Amino acid sequence: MVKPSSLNDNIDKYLNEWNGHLNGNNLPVFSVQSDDIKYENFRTGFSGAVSGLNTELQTQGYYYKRRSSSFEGSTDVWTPILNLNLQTDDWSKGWNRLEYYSGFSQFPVVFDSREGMLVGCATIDWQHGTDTMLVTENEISFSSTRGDDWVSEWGVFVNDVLVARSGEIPPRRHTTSLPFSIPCGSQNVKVDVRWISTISDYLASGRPHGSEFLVFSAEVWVRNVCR
Amino acid sequence: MGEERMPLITNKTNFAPGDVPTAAELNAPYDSLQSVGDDIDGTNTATGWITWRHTEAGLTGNAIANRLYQYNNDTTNETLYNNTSYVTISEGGNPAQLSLGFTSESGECVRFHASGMVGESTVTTDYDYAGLPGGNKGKPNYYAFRLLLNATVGGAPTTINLGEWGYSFTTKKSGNLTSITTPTLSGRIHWQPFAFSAVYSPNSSITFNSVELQCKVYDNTNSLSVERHQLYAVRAKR
Repeated sequence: MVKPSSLNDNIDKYLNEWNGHLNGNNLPVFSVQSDDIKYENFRTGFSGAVSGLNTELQTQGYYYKRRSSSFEGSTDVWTPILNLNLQTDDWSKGWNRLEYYSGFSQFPVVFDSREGMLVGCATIDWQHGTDTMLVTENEISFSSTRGDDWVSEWGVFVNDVLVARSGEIPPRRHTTSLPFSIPCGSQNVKVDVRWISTISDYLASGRPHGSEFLVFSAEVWVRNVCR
Repeated sequence: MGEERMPLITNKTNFAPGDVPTAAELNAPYDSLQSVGDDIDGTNTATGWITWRHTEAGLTGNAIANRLYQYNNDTTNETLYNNTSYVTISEGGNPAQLSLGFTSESGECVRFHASGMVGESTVTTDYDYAGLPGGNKGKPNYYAFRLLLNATVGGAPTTINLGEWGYSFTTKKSGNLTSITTPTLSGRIHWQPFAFSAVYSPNSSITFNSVELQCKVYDNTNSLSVERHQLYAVRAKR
């Protein structure tokens, strides 16, 4: 003879396990796969001279901005999209924000982070090379260069805190890659890049230097690791 | 079951003394469980129900949040390139190509890295007098790399430019020469590493087949020397 209370208890205990008490003992180790976690992707795209994307996944978010000569119709990888004359254009001997220059106002990566880490990289294709000039002495003309002592440096700033810097780079065209990482809270984040150049005084002989500071492309991606 | 989630199962009968359970009454809780058993969610689980030991380990294979793909060519032999259109770098018959072979979910995000070493390039010109004023005067000094994605979009194979990045053979940039067409070369830059990265996220599901590292020079009288190089791709899945 089956007592009703036994029957009720058996069913209750069985259902109780399913009704909120399943735990790790019910699941083999190494069995949760990517597809078991719901795929969610919240995207915001940016278009214009500066393109980019904010995309948030379950465990991380990617935030990305780029302006590149290779993706603008009138230019190519050989043609700069920013050409500064260091003799006549505005710049400072301190950090110069790339966002202040024409076409780069939307360049900073701005987003609301989730508590965790920010891991990212800035990549800038730029040039500050030596000048070549014509020198005439004793009626003999020859070419000469100046600026071998010029140096430039790039830095990555997260909410105005310097988190990565390249160190001084001698004259050349260079693609500078600046990886960085920093802890973050659930907060608004702004990531931007800045540069410093040091040049010697130009000659006083009537030949002003043509020291050009060129940018061909700049991009920053940030991965917000939050779980 | 779509977005439906497994509810708490309440479809049961409490039996009292003297009741004669029917088959339907006895089967009801089990039938309910069977009908929604594929949709267990947080309602059904205890706090702290999962540990990291329950997730698949490692970056490769069917990892949870990210998957890493990598290609490494560690040759120290230098290969020269003087092509003015992009060609895929190839060292010892091995093209710099990273196989991917996955179909993304809509809006997935993949980031790409490349790095390597430029050796002793052959440089004959780094300045173009004919390009004055402005114009191409500094361009013969340049070489560039490109990351090219081979993908299948809407059933059709296609290539996607992930980015291009440049360097110079020497320190020279600009100048105001007017009468000397072949100025002295500035200091050659040898044994310089290169590195860059890019993020790509298509709006829709596409098949990522492979990514290639390519190079070109502006002036074919110069030859770019490339030796060891690496390619990485990180697929952000969750």
